[in-house]
Amino acid sequence: MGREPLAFAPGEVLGRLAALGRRAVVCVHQAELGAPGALPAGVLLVLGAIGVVEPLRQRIPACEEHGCELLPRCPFAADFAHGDRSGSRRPKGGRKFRVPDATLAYAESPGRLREMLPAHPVARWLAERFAARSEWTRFELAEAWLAAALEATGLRRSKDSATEAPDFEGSRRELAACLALLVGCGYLVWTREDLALRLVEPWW
Amino acid sequence: MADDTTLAVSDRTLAAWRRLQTTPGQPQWLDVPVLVEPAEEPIDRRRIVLRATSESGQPLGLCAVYTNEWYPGCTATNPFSHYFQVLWHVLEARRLRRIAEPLRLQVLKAVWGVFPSGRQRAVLLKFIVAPEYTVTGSLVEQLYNCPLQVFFVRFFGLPRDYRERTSRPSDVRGRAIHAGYRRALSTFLETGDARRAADAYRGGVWSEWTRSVQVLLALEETRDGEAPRDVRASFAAADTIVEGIVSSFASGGAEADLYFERLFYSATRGLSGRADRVEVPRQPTAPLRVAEVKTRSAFGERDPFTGSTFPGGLQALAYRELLQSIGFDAVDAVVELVENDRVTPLPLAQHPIVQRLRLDLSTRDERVVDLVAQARNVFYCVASGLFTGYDRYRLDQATRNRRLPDVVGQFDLLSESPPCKVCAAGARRVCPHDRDREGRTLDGLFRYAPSALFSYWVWFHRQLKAEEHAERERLFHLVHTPPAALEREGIALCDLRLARQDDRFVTLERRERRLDTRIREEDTVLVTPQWPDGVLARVPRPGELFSVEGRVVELGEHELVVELRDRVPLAPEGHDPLYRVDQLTGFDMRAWQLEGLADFFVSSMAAAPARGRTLDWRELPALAQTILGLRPPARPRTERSLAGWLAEGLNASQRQALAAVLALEPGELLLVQGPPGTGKTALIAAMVRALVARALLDPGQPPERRPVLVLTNTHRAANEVVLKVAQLAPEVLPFLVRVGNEREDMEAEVASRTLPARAGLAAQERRAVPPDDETAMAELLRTSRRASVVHEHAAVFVATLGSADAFELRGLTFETVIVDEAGQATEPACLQALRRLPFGYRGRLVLVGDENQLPPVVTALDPPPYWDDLRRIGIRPGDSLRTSAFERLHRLFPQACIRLTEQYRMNAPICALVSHVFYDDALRPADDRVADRRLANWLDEFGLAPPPGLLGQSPPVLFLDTSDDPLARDSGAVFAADDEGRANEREAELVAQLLAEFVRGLPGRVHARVVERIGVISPYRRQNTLLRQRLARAHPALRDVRVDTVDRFQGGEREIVVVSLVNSNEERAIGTLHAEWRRLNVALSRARSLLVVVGDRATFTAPERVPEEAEARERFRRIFARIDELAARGEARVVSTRALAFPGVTDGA
Amino acid sequence: MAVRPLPEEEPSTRRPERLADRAATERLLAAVGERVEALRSARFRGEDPVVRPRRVRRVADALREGALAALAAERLGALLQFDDELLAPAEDVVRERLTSAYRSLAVWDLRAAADALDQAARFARFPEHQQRIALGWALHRLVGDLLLLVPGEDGDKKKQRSLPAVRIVRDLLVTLDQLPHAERDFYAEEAERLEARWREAAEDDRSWCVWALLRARVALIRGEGAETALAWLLRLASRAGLDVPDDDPDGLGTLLRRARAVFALLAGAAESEELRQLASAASPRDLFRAVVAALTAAWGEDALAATHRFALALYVPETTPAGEVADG
Repeated sequence: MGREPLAFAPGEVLGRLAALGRRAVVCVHQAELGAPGALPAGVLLVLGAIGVVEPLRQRIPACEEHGCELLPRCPFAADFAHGDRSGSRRPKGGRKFRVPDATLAYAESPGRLREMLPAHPVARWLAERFAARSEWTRFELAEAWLAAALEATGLRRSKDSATEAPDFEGSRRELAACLALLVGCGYLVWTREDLALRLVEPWW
Repeated sequence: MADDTTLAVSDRTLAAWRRLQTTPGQPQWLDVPVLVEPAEEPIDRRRIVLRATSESGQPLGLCAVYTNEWYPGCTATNPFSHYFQVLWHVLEARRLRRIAEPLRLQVLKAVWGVFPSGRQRAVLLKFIVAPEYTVTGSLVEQLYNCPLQVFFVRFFGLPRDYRERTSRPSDVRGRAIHAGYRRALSTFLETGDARRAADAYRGGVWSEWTRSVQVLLALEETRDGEAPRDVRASFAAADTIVEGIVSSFASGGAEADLYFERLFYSATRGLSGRADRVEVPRQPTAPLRVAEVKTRSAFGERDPFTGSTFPGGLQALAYRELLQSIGFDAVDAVVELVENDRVTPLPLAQHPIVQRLRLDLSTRDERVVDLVAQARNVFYCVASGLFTGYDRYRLDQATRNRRLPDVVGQFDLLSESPPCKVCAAGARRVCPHDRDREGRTLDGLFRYAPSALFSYWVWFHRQLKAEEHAERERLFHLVHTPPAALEREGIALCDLRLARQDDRFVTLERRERRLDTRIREEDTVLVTPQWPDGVLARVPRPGELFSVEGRVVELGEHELVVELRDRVPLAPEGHDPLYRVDQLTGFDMRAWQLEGLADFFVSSMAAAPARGRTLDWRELPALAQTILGLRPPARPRTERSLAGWLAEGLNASQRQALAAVLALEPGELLLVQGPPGTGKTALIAAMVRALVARALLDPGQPPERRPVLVLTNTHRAANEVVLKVAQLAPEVLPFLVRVGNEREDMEAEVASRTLPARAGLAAQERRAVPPDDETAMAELLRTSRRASVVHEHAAVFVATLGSADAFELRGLTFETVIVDEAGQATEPACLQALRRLPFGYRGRLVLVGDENQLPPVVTALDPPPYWDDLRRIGIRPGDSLRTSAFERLHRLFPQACIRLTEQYRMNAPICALVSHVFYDDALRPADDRVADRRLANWLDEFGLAPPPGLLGQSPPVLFLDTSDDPLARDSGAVFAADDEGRANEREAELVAQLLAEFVRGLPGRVHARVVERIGVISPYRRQNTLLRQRLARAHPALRDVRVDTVDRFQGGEREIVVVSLVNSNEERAIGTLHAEWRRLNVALSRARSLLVVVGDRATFTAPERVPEEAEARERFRRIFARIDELAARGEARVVSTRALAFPGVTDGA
Repeated sequence: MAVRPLPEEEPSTRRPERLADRAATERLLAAVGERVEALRSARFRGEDPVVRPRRVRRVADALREGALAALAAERLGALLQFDDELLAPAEDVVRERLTSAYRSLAVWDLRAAADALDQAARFARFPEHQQRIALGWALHRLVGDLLLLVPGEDGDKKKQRSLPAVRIVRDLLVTLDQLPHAERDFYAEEAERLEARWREAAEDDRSWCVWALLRARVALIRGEGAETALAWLLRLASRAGLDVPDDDPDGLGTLLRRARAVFALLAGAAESEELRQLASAASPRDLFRAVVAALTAAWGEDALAATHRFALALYVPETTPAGEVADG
């Protein structure tokens, strides 16, 4: 339905990461500004959570240090500049990722990514949903995600609360990335003219 | 000022002038209005010679104004006097604009000068320029903070850019304490009980925190889950504030009446104000007290001796001067600062500004007058555009010096550190004086703008300013015109008796004379008592403290219901409780349109890569070039096939439009023309669903970029879109937010979609104030968390163009912005849609509208002079603010517009009539069921056959021609304004009899349901009132037939529609309402099965008397010709009313 | 070959003085004024009209008409149209004002530079001139900051490390697409160099003294008042440790004592005849020369020449200006 592919095969993902070369640094804004071959922000966040790429939290390199070619026209470059960042208010952490050597090692065997994916909290949440019902439309999934988020605010968020602090951003683009990867890995498939997703093979 | 009809005023002026001549050489305090014209053509830069006359025209001879307030025999001139400079600029601008009528000056101080040569002449020293232009008092301080800010914010209209910046809770803390303080004070003064005052305080704080939705988003609770500091501080301040009130008001509370937020206006100073609290003492000797509450001491006046700063001094002085000029002699003011949870009152006498300038408040101190007059005069000269005009080099020159030295005289009051941090020009990096500038500055904004963009800005800015000018002169007009003349003009009603008053709603009635007026529901009005008041000892004029602002809720033939902001003063015994009601239009209703225009100008320039030189229009963003008409938009790509579930329920042209929207690239524009009944709103709902579905599961979507924003012209249309989405695409509802707070005219379904309601804070919960602070804070926190989650997940926002800068939208930009009813929005209003597109306008814009239907509502002012550079932008000589962006762009780029051609409302003959005259035969019924729908089909829903009689047996189109009926002449123009208030007795009678005969032919049980589907339209309100009377008298069931003007029928539809054209006279005048032929299109296209037109063919088809009427008359000729063709085919019937008489009707109506 | 007799030269003594013909000039200026007035009222309405000479029949009138149009265009900085060419009549004035503005910046004369930039801005129509003016204002801000911000003494730490104006220059240079890359790089480096020098002055005492000497020198030559120059010289002397026994009558010691007397009076010390006499003899120029001599002796390098490190260097295109090709 949409122009952009709604599926990311593990092979293609790992191929794009390998193409960047050793210890390359990628940023969430590259895809948004149309860098060729850049992975969308949601996919990077998911890969960061399951350990395929390493999210940078300290000593984050400035844009010119990792030779980003979008520098002249990127409005976010100021956020990562060293020295006085008076202008930017957005936190620097968790927006840039480094491709570790381990990933390059298994770049050719996509099956590795296929096993790591279910470990992601969003993948687990999706597992419960698809266990309950085998076919979900886009809207129903997003609505369930909203309901879960609303219900999460209901719990008194005290330090010792049972729900472990979710180590994911919780925004919808991460849900979308998880779905795209699941479709890529063959667990799910788009049906009814890209309106709904049907379970092909359980991953839990 | 005992009385101020023009005669009394000019007598006083003549007396003052004579008194002046008695003491040559000694300046005297006059305070009288004078009309002046420059006597010599090239105005000298050192002396202006004026020819003065009194208000009623008696000449007062020549008078002169010298620089620095010099006069012959003057001992000490005032080198920093602004009077001469402001007058010089105003006269120069009026000369360049060829403004003919004389300029009014309120002469405060003058002297009879005896020159060495022996010549004697009056020399004016201090005066208020054009006092009829009302300036709001709170802006006095803004001028003394930074005059350039007045230029950028008040003249240019530059808004802050909220694409990134959101708002902070600290903004609301001050307001919350202020609201609580006001409620606690009024409760304490009524009850004298401290505990109830504390509860009232909590109620005030609670309502303020919950009122502004933006607070709900910005509330991040502290790490340990407590309410943020600002919220806790505002609640905790309860006891200190209440105890402050008790101590200061314990004793003398009883003998003063309290007026909160009352508007007060001085016609002689051209200033209006709205102090927080005015205490009018009951015994006349005590002074009147004005209280001004300030919540932040950012721009305080510093006392050199103690070093303490205190805000609000200037504003309190201005209000004091204003009240004294109205006639209250003893006025003392107090400024109350709400700071770190305490309210510290400071009488004006001890205020740092009074201490520093050693002002003596007991007598009239000329420095106070200078201070207030300078602020008012400079504001008028700069904000009205007379200072710079639209000369791009003078505009650029004006920004060179922050103090605007050409026009501002006294500098020493300027604060040394200008408020760059909070100034919009600083934030947008447009002001060259912003000290801590970083990032790419935008110098030479006016000088280097491409000429197309600059001409576009001038053309619209000048008309918006003219409209604001007219509105700012409304109060002066109200005060200086006798009530009877105002009633004839239709903007006032006098001698209304107070029927009853419950809480805020007051009912006024006037049995003896009908309420014939142009005031409508939803208008803002001033209710003023008509009996002499104790303090002023004369009948108060509108806007003088004792009048109350309100909103008209209901307007009947003899009574009027108004919802007031504050209770109305009750008449003391001995005076019968008569009131007058005056229509008042808000000054800053237009402000948001100015902001849209300025934002378009600055954002387009800021997006260009190059700086520091003249830009070529090709360097502007693509969408800006398209809006300027210089770059044709891409031809709509409609070839893509749509998924089944996207296009269900849409007809062919709707499907084409949806495909085009989905194929739009960022920076592109699409026009969709939706003629009447073609399912425009259904198409918008489908667009919303498609765009949300595409972006919902898109991994690359950053959180601050959202898919769709739908902006409409009116709240009603916005609610309509929400209802249609709920009906056609319910799955989108969880991600839809209706921007704004709940309004009582919102359907429940829509009200539940607003953010507070979604967060669990619907209207009734908001009114139920929690018992104690802890629960209140917990509740606020809970709703804040829910609101931020809902807001984070929201994909669709529906708002009106006016609230495109609302709190919910701050910090967000949108992939696609859809503007509904684009044909009814003025061009600057339409630009509001661009403010929510990503930087550099890299987003999609869809304009849905129809330029053949109602144009934008504008107080009809003549457009500015035309020059040929506008032709490039597609503006034609006849255009004005009434030409919407949709119409201009559709004229320029017809190929970029998709026209919806299948309509679901009118049956074949009516559709043929409308389509032939307005849509060159492109419009056709969607299917046979619509095409063949007749009166019979509708009636057999009730199991009835069409009744006998003219209406029952008539074909779909019936034309009652009154051209040769001598009785059917209209009553002539009653009002001088646009809506001339014509009425036509005969037509009203015919319509009543026609419908009565139809209803009599139907059984009683169906009357209610049948009558509900009948509509009667006429352009004049007086005719509508007349029609309602005739209908009620002709048949009891016809009492609830909807009779209204065309404007209020927009968007509605009925089975039977009767259109009464009213105009029928020998001079063949059709009036300005009919000259707007689009109204006719809307009127004719409301009918589903039967259209009845009653009117005088001869009057409407006569040759035009004024060029503007040409097109309208042409359309009328084509309509009557088409009706004749339809009649030939048997689908219409023309009946001459001359011989028409209804059986069984006593003609003595 | 016959030689044509030379016309006999009228002796210069008898030729009348060349005075302007008052009436004719008034008529000409009136005509120009009337055109300027028409242009100004058109501009007031929002147009930006181009000046065209009016159609006339006689050739003599045509010449006069052309002159009038050119004068009116130059008065308002408007474009002039001769048949179909659009001309900017005052562009040479702009070029000359620009060079004088940059030269003033190089010698720290901020007021003259501001005036020159203002005049240039009024007539500039060529894009690269307009952008040079914008760059001029940014450099004006930079030189102003360099002079007015005392190195190492700004309140909050963040501002203290860098000159705010350098950032403005850097951000602006990226957008000046009509200027050659060489010029933009040159001024970017120049701004970096000046900032480095300024930061160095904050850290190292000696360069601080050089900066203070520059500050005193500018105060002296730009007429910022004797007290300013004296104040900076005193502070410089104490910072550089130039306290010398004041035995010699006109040596550095007495000059310093006289300067201190001036400030003693200003600070409200008891008015005494001796103090007043000392203060009146204080001369900033002598003190300046003495301090420069002392510093040169102390440091071994010419102190005055050392101040030139804070001077803005001006870009001179290597190729001849005609050959200069603007990129983009």
